[in-house]
Amino acid sequence: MPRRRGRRGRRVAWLALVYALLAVVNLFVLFPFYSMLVTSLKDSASAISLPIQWWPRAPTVEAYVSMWAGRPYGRYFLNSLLVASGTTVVSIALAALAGYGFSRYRFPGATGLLMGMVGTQMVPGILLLITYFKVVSVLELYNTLTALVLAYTSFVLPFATWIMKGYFDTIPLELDEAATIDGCSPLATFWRVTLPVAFPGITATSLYAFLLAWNEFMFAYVLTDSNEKYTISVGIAHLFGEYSVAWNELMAAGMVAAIPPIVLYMFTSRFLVSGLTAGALK
Amino acid sequence: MRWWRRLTIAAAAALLAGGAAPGPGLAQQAIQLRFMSWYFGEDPAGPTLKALFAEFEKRNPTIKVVAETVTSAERVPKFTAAMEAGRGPDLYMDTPPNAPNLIARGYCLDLESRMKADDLLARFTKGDLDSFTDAKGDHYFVPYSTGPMGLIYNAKAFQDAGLDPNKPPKTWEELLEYAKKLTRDGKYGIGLFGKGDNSSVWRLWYWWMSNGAEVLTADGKKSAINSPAFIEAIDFWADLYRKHKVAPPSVPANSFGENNQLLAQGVVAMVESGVWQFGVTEKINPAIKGQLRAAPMPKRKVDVAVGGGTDALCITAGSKNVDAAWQLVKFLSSAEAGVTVWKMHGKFPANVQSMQSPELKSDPLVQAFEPMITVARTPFKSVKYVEVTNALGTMMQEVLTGAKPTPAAVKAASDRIDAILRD
Repeated sequence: MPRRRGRRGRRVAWLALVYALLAVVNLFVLFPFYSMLVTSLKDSASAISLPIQWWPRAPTVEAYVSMWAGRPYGRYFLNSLLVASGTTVVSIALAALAGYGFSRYRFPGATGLLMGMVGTQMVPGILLLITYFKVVSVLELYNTLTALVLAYTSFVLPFATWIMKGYFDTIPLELDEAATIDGCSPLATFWRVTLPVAFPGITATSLYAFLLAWNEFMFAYVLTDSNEKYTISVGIAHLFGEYSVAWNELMAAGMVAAIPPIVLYMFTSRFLVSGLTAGALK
Repeated sequence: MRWWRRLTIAAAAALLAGGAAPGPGLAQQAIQLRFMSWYFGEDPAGPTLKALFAEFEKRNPTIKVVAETVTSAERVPKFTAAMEAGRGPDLYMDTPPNAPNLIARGYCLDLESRMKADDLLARFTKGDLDSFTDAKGDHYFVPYSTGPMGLIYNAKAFQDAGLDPNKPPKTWEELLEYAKKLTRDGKYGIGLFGKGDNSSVWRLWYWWMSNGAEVLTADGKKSAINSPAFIEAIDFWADLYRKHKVAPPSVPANSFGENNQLLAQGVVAMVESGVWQFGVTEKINPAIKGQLRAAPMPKRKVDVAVGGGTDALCITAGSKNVDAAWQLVKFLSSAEAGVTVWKMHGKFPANVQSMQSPELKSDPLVQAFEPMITVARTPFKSVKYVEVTNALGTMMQEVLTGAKPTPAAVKAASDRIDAILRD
């Protein structure tokens, strides 16, 4: 009896330690969001007053109102949505085909090609900025959303192909063989049989592509030049003035900008882990 | 001659004749000048510049100016990318710290001959002009607005501490004496900038310049900071915080935003800043309006003020509209435009002739800053400006936090600067 009690005590202590550690990690992760929320609910003076007000003395939605009045955030949101959706669709279409090819076909240099694609991720993106600018200028695509979709697709594609290949590897080859016996062409097998089964992988990759395009700043900043084409991250950056920053408005805009990715994540999170880890233990 | 030959010759002749004569309306075609600046995202800087564009376009109907907005913090990467991609604007605005690099990269046109031909050199102070030259002394930027830094102080705090607000401190010793009297009941005499960022180092310049020290040797190839005058200046500045405790405990973490807040809340009574300080402090605390005043920084050995708040214009290499751009530059830096800059933007025009206009001459702020404008200068120009500033920022933090005694911190910074300049 005492031995059992002792074991139970150790288990409770262990669980308490685990939960305490989780609480610390959660605090660390969630505190910036809390700080954003609280600052967005302050007026401009209390947003930077000392000592810091950990909860606003007089909460106000002034910043949420003034942000819409001061800048065309509706347009920025729409642009971000178009760019992120465009990047996602193009990337998924190409990555699914490429991933399927790498998974199902053996051809000379396949491993080297795949490694080379993933290797491009090691190059810091900023080094490619001027080259992209030149390409976009030559193609007369400067200050267009198409330029951003093309640029982001090139960032997303290698990793997306890698994820998709990993996921296709987990789908039994017998499915393809059965479809072939039933008279499907390779493309029909991909489209009608394999792709529907790969839905979790596609969802995870889509989320990755969407978030990358939604959050990216530097390329959007350099490759666009007008309020009509700015994305949300560029629009928010313009709140940083030379001598002053509208912190409450900045945080309000940040909170609103975080909503679409959060909603998207809520709907797709159950596919995310399975999609990303598929093939990891092969 | 066969019919098709005749036809070809006739078509060629018609084309040549048509090409030689100006087409209808061609002469009236507007020249479009693309002007890149962070001003367009700022109020009142942007509206001021746009009002000047409107006036310029009225006088020059064939020229249209297009504003291209960049953010203040990220202007150089965007300009650099645009220039490297061959899609740079016709005009670009920047400040002394960035100018040497932009000039060295060949992004800006040498305006020396144009400035001499149109007698523009007489419009500006030597300090402002010297901030934008290459090694030969040729000018690449034309100053638009300027901003020497002085002592901004709270007259009410002075009165409450029994000090005469009409007699701000004139020497370092007086500054310390005033700061001690102003330090009481959780309030401090002076808000020092100790964070180690560009804004802090920019303000630290004054202390060693006033004490006769320099950052670099005259040829710009070696550090000159490891000198008794430099160390004495840094010690005096740091002791306001370390020994006399007349500055807030948060000094090592304070820069522009923090000190602006402390000044607005009445926690500090004095800061080193420019004319722009008034607007941003009053924005946080409108009740402080009328309480803030300006005076030259208390003097030690050399009569000097920190320049660097100068914003200037360059015509970019590769611009296809250089003559039109030059017309605009001349207009924006004219005495007439300078009055608009002061009235709308509230910043000093770089054109010293503007100061003689009745609107500016009678203004108490202009009267307070005018002595500083004439002696203001940038302490050093270097393509390694950012790296040298970072070394000085590290030194600043080491001195304030006591990580190293001042001579050791200065020696270490001096060695770092030498290494940076050697690279």
